[in-house]
Amino acid sequence: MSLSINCKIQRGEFELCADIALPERGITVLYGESGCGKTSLLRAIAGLDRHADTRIMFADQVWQDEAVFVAPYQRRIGYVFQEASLFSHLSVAQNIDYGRSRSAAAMHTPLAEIIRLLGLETKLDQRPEQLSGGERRRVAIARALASAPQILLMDEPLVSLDHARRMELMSYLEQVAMQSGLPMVYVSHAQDEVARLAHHVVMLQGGRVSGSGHAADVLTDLALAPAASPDAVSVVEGVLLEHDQQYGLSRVEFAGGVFSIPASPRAVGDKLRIQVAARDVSLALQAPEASSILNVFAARVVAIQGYDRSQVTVKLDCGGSALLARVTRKSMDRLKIAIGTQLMAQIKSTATLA
Amino acid sequence: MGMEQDLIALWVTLKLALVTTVLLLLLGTPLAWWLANSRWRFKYWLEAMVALPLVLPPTVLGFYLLLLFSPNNFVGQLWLDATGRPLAFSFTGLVIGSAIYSFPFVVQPIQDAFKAIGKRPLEVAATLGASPRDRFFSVALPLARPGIVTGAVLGFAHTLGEFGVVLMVGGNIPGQTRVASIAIYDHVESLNYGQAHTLAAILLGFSLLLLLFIYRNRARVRLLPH
Repeated sequence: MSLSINCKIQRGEFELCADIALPERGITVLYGESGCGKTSLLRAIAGLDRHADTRIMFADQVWQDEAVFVAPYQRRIGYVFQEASLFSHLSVAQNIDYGRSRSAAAMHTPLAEIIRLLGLETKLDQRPEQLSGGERRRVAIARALASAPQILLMDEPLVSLDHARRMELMSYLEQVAMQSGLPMVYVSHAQDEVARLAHHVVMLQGGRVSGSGHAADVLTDLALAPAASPDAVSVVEGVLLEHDQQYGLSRVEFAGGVFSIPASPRAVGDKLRIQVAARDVSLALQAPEASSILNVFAARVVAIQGYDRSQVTVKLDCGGSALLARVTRKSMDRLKIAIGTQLMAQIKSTATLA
Repeated sequence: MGMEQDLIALWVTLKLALVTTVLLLLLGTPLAWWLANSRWRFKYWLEAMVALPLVLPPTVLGFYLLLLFSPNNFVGQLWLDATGRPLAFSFTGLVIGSAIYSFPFVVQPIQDAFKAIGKRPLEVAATLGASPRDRFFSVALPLARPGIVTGAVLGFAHTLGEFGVVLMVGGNIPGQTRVASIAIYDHVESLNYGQAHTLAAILLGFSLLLLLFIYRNRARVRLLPH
């Protein structure tokens, strides 16, 4: 565990209590509705706000306890704010260099590599106001990375970007996470960001940690908010097995079988994530003999929870992977679906993630 | 009094405005920074003091300064002992008087500019490893530049036009404390309207140019106290 926080943050009526330990590598998403205290928590980690009764440790350094408070500029963090917050008096290159020139450790950061990773080679001489929203965020990320941080903190870096920009930036973030090997704490209220980016999720609800763990587990936990939302999804991790050139498909092996997905740009052998919306999963007692649906897997019902008057959310175990299905109460009764029922899950469509 | 005397008066005026402006930037910028960021509950006291010269008759300020500068007074005595010259009726005394009189014109635009920056750029700089001092010089100062330029130009222009304080603490010593505004007054007193016209037109034109510069740059200008 690299980062541990034990805090009690009071903000007017609102109180946030958290005792969290975060893994050493990969992206941890602090996930929850706006106003649940995610940003407050991130600011406390950075030291931008100082609260009493808070203890923050990073690796073997004490960042804050009763006696110690390390100022943000001495914590060696990278922080990407919601708006890119570039320095308007500096060019792109000068923005990126700001943190780098102030860190002894940043002497050895591969600056050219960072600039290439974020696709900023041709933007270096421009002023921040000349950049698009997506480009500005990328500069902000490059600027944070170039300062050779020990940990990267990001506060909804994709908020208020359009769909295409968000997708684009998410693939940049995946590259950053993979190549830098830095631990990242990522604040978000968007389910697709969790499904795609999170290695570890800390779910915040009403100022409390309501759950934490693997993205695949947290998203399909029927006791938590995501599984009860209209857009409930499950995440399945698999390995790209082969490309089917003839039909423009790729085949991905996971614990419960082999998925056919629209042709993926990734290489055979790559690990990737597949996102399955609960409303795209239908259930049948037998495998259909003639059906247009390609992805049909044997599964067992492990939990059922009411969704609304007419529908339920069914949690399935599909060879060790959790899948959510949203079906009508009528179908449930007709098929006599109960906990333990063996059945076939038919998946109408998938969204492939990285 | 000839043209040469008027040129000298103009030179003294320019020198006074320049020295005063530099002094005010050096003193006013840190104070403006402090006023923009401090949460001290009695901060408004200091803000009121800074704004005082805006409403005070220059003669009142000049009168108190004259008393302070007098060798009968501790401060005046100290100065006399240290430099061997009295503070009253000297160029230095004039600079002190002008600086106090033009203080709000420099401090307020800079304070507003610092406030307008907001917390965010400074927080970003902190997360990028910049110490508080570093943040002030590398982020706050450059971002507040329009306000600082405005403050400097206003302070300069205001000092150019100063009359009352100069008359009280500076007197009318040619080449030392005789500034253009006093020279105009003298010309009018002695019915030299021609020379008064020339000097007045120069001051008018110059002041207008300075204000045009400020307003063209569209920096926020606030001439009145909060």
